[in-house]
Amino acid sequence: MTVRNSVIFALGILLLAAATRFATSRGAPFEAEIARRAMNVFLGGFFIVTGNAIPKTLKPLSARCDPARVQSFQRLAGWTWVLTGLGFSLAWVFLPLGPANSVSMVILFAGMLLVLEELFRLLRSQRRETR
Amino acid sequence: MNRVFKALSDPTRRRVLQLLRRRPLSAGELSEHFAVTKPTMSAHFSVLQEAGLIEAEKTGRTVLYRLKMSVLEDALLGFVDTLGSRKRARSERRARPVKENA
Repeated sequence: MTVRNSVIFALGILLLAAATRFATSRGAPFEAEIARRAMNVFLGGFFIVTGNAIPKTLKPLSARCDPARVQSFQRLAGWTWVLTGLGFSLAWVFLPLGPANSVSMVILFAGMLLVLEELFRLLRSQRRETR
Repeated sequence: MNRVFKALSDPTRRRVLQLLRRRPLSAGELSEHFAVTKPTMSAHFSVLQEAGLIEAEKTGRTVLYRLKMSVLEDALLGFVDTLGSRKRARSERRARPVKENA
């Protein structure tokens, strides 16, 4: 994700929070629950957009690492992150508040662990090849 | 997005993308899989490059092509491929009785 897109997303989150606060102060029938859900759905959207762009971020091919392995890692990371974001958002849309919190966290950590595990495997294989 | 749809509309280009899913390949390695001339293959490569689906990188004397597809584009390729293979199967099924009758 580019710096510009990251700034746009950050501004979006701040604007959403400010709009919700403004609406509640004006007596809009918003509940804190809806605002919390909206924020988390937006956060899930951020994961989706970030994951979508991961396989497009190419670095120059290096003799130190197998390009096939790097490519497969990037594809896996991208897909995992997109599905994590999708699951995260859907949990906050459809589940009651309590379960939504725990389920979304489980989904998020599972996605992170999967990507990290694959990253360590890639780094280990790179180290083996350079020896 | 129009360029992406145009690139994915051709079965040869879709096959190129599928081959590149496994690992980056040189132009020669990719051409081995197709019974088309080199200029035709280069035209396919340039359409894919214009759509931003692949990237060429020169390593020594060879040009390596590698995938540069976002997750959405990857999913789109899978979707178009599934539709294409279903359509092909349906048209083959339709063509079979005609052959048998003839």
